[in-house]
Amino acid sequence: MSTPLSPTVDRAIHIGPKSPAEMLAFERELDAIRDDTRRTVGERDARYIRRIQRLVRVTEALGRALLLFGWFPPTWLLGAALLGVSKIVDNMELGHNVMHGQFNFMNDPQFHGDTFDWDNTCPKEEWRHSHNFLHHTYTNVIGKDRDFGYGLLRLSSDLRWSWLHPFQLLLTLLLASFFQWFVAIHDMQIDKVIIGRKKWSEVRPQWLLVRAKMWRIFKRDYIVWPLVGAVAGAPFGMSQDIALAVLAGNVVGNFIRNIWAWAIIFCGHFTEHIYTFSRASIEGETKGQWYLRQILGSSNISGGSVMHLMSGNLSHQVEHHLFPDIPGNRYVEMAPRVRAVCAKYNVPYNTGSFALQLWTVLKRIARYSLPGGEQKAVHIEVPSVLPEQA
Amino acid sequence: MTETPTPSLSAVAAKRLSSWLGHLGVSPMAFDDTVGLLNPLLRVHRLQARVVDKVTETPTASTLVLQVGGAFPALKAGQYLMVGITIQGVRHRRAYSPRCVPDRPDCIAITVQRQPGGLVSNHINEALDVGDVIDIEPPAGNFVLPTPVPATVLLIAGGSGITPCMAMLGELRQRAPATRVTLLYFARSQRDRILAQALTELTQRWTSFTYVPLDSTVHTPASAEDGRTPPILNPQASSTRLLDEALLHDTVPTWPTAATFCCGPAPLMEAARQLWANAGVSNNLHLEAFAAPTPSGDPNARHHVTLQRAGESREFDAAGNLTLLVAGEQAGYQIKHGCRQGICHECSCRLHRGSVQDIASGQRIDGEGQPIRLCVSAALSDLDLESLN
Repeated sequence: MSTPLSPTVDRAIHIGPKSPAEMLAFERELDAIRDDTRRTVGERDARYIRRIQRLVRVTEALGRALLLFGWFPPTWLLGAALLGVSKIVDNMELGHNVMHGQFNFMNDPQFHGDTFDWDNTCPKEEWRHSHNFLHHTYTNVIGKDRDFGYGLLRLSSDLRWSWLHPFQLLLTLLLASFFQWFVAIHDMQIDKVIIGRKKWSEVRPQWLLVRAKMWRIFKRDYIVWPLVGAVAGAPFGMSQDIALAVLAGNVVGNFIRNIWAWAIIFCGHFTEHIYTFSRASIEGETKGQWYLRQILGSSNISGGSVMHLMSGNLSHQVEHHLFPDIPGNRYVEMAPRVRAVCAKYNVPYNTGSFALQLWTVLKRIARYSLPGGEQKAVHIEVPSVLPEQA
Repeated sequence: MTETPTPSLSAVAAKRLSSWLGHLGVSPMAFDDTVGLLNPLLRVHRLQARVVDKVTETPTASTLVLQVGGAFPALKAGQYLMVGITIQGVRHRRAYSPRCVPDRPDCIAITVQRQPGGLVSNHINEALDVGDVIDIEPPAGNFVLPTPVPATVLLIAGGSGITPCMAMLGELRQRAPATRVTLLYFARSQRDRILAQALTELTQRWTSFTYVPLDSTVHTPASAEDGRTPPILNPQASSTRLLDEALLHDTVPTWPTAATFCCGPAPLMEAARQLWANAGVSNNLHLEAFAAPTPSGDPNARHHVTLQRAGESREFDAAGNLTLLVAGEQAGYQIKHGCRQGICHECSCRLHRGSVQDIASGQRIDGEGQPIRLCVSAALSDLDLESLN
């Protein structure tokens, strides 16, 4: 396969469409799925997202109200769980999808991708850059998509092994528990500052934005609401008890959201059969090749409507990566058509149960905490029509 | 009734409460949604109004009487109001001229003329009903009477351009009934003259008011889909009174010194602009444009683009066959962007005025505050953009 003169060190693979003509046909078929769906986007989707927003508001109000009853186990547990659910739906089904601009068609500032803000320490501006732009444009391209490993974890042989990596399962636990805080500083690229490839003065404006958002969320969850609890408990002489119960409820609510969001996101891109790509592979990439890369770099989670709702429809990670600004609630009806196109062109369509996908993610993290490993960035090769290379 | 309604005490209190709740993580929107469940008129941030009456003015125009909440700010006659109507899940914004309603300080009225093929104006005339709730924004605009009110006021209206003039008439009668007011009102025919009944009644009750209805199709804009009287200047027809010096001399001999307010179709306003410029008294003429610019669709045309970002304004010309991102960069500006292929929305700008073609979807987008992506949009007309990132 490799000639000694070949300047590329990455491995070329042949997968999917077999010729430029087939690649074009593949692109057209996926475009058609997008266009068919976009034509019918309207009233139904607007009603859906308003209902989701109501769900977020109601669960948050109920959760916070229940926490004010103190440590009484039924109310405390339910309160913390509802608060967690509210944050999950706010971040995933509402925030993530709205911030992609999926509901811009409504022309309603409440659901504009650019004005919506979420219940998360990550400022919306930072998220739009690191996620909507870097991650979605350069999905799984080593050195470009900073979501692959988050600048912390070694998830393929592309990263040179170091003595830090044996501890990366523990590091993952830390990352999952404090996921929103890691996401908040993600776009600042602190790792580059530490190794001297970026100056702190460049990062400072971002940090001011992040700090302000962190403080707003911290103040609300860990200071103001516990104080409200203290006031509510004062007539019964239970100020301290209730304040602590509210504080603990907020900690648990945030923890539930952090762990769940981490699990869903890792299942979307770091499962067993995910491909990573070399920088060279995206040069001169056609739309069809971009589609192919999105499919090879994403994995779905099978499940019912509750799974789809709670994962913000990232259970349809493949469809989401193909069509990031089609309303998420439509992926479920697009999935069979996408799957059929994949089958037709021999493109692997990665899906599995939540437990299975999570298991392969953990396996991958464990495997690459040790040196070596066979998964390395690839270059998708489309056979050229030029006779000398045929 | 001069400046009704003003924000009530309870609305001020509600705003204060909402800002306190902000520290608890209750967003202003959430606050509004919650009080809106009780009564939409209690909202203090994103205002709404309830349709309490609907009157058919002509076969093609209706007047809506809207009840507004305590947070609705003072209304100056002649200002416009953005109204948000949701059709098929999509919110559309349009500007209308509101006027106060006698005896109902909690209400305002807007008159909506059907536009041929117009989505919102036809929806309002056909589907909107008494009891419905619509979005409204605080009134805005500088097309208002000066203080103190001048001794002579001339109002020139064409078609639905009567609506801000009607609001001014209401205010003049209330605040300064001794003012000599003349209204020149151009309409295609008697049948199309909205608010005619009210104007006739007004002349009988208000002696210093002169009402000059003029049937004319001269100043109507050329429009193929119109299907009405051909908008061609036809000197033989009876309905050809046009805005010229002779007409002004006959009706308001002192016109060069009068404070003049003109609102109507572009040709009418252009005629007025010329007349006042020739007389050297352009300062006395106030114009209010109503119609949206029409897209050229010409790839060779150069369109003037104004892009606001963080208080800074950038202006450049964009050819119809370039994306706005490329056009701006060619003009030497650094414009915030990401993927350059319509994925990431980093270059999103709000389109306030003008029309663009979304190259990704092939759709035409007419500016009413929607976000557009500069990297996949080409100008079809002059544009006003506001950067969102």
